[in-house]
Amino acid sequence: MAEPDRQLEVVEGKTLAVISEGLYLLNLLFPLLPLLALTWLWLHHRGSATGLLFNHLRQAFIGAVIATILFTAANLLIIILGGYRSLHALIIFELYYIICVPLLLIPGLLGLIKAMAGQSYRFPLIGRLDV
Amino acid sequence: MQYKSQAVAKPYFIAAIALFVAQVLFGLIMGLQYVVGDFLFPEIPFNVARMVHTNALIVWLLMAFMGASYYLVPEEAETELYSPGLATLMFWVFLVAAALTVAGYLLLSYSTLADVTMNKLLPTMGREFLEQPTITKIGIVIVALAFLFNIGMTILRGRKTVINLVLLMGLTGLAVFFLFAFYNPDNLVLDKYFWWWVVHLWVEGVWELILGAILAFVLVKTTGVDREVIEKWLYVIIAMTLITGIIGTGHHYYWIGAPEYWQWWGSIFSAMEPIPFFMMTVFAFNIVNKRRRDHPNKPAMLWALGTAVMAFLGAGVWGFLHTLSPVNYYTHGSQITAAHGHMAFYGAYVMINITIISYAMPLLRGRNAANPLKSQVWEMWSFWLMTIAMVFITLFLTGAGILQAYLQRMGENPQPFMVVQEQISLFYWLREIAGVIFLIGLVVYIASFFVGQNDPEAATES
Repeated sequence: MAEPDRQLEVVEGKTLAVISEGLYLLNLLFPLLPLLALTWLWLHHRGSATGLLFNHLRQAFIGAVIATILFTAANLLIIILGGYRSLHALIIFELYYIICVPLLLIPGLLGLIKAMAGQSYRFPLIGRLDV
Repeated sequence: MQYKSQAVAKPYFIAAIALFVAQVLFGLIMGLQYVVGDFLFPEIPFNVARMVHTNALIVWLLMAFMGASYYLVPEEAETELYSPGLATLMFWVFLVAAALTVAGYLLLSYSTLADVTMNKLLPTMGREFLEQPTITKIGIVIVALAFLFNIGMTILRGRKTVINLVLLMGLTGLAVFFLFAFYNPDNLVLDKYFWWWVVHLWVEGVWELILGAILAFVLVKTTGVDREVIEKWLYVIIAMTLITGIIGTGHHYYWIGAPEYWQWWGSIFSAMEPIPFFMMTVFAFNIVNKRRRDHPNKPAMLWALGTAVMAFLGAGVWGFLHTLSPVNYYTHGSQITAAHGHMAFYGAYVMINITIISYAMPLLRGRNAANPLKSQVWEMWSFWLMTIAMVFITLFLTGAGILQAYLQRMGENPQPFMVVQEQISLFYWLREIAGVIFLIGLVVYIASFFVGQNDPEAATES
């Protein structure tokens, strides 16, 4: 019976890896709630996850934290510089969107594709950070 | 090449590439006119250069779509084309009509062109992207109907696959929505309202079906992945395209006098428009990851993957950038729109056409599967040159657009349009330089058809 259990574990690991990368991508569009879900997944599986799941969960969690920090910083900057109806709000939104979003989006996209293929992946630069 | 009649695709592809060159040249002329206002004036005024730039784009994309269909439908349907003679005849009709129209733009004033072509009998001219004389539009309809008849009859008597049926659906939609080009009411709101039924429902609706079908065909052929897997993806992608794209038309209705509810409908549905492009990217990479063979035509794979990524960035990400109505209030019609337009058209439709040309041309030229290695290396260089240049064109136009919105539409003392144009000229210069790199990439692409032709074909698939 050991072999079917192992297969089930691999399938579950792959599914959760795909969900992790999906939550990371969703967090770029609608920040916070997906990050909370990712945090729960990370805390829940940190000790037990191995291989593929550990790789993708860890990458997605680090990425989502950084993306949320950048998003929060952009919003704080808007508030400090005069609020959402100020001249700066549009500029900061557009700059955040053309610089941060594509840079965070493409690794997430590649991560999702790798997770679906059952392969591991490390985000460039931020993938080496430890949590 | 499995069927002799697929050969009719070749002249379509060659003419498409020639018109692509014309489009880029006029783009460069116009780009320079942004900063050197009287460049080539009065020989080629800005409005004429713009008309040729955009119309050449539309015509060459249509020509390449037709070539792609004539190539892939017989193979999918597993039968010869219904009438290769009709396809060839329509090619010449289309080419001559396109050439005469461009000559008319360049040699006559627009009002004289309208008089000469008897626009008064059925006025359809004078609208952005639909500037063609009425007689040309009638010619386009005749060519499109003959084309649909030919493709439809081929599919009817052959094998029906998801790929050729999705393609046929897209092509039928293309022909049907073009008919709104003939509806030209006096009421400007109504005019703009239905004008978008051609423009938006083409590029953010039915053309995406054509894109999906061509991409799926190339991936089936080059990866060896089961057709069923690819078809399931295609179903979901086209469903999402239609769900988001049709009501997403509302993002054009914010400021034209249409009811206010379009601000909500347009914002919500067009915010979802990146989803099918996102799925297309995941689809393409997934299929390539699962490939069962290494096809020797490397550039075709590169263009296919490039299409998926660049279409998502250009149409999806850069579209979302200015699609929400509160943002669009400031950015509408600015250089941000131009940035989105450039990357979206290049990423989605230019690249998919080059993908199918890249896949089919070696076969149409009598090779077993691929070009010689040297030719492939040149083609891959052209991919990177054109793609990177387009990324920079987009970034520079986005920079120009942000500054334009800031200086012209926000703040206590908004500045006049032309004053702002002076202030963003640095971005226009940078865009022009990137445009020259793009042209170099295009020259390298054309050269790839001629270099190393006596060398042996690249290694066959393993």
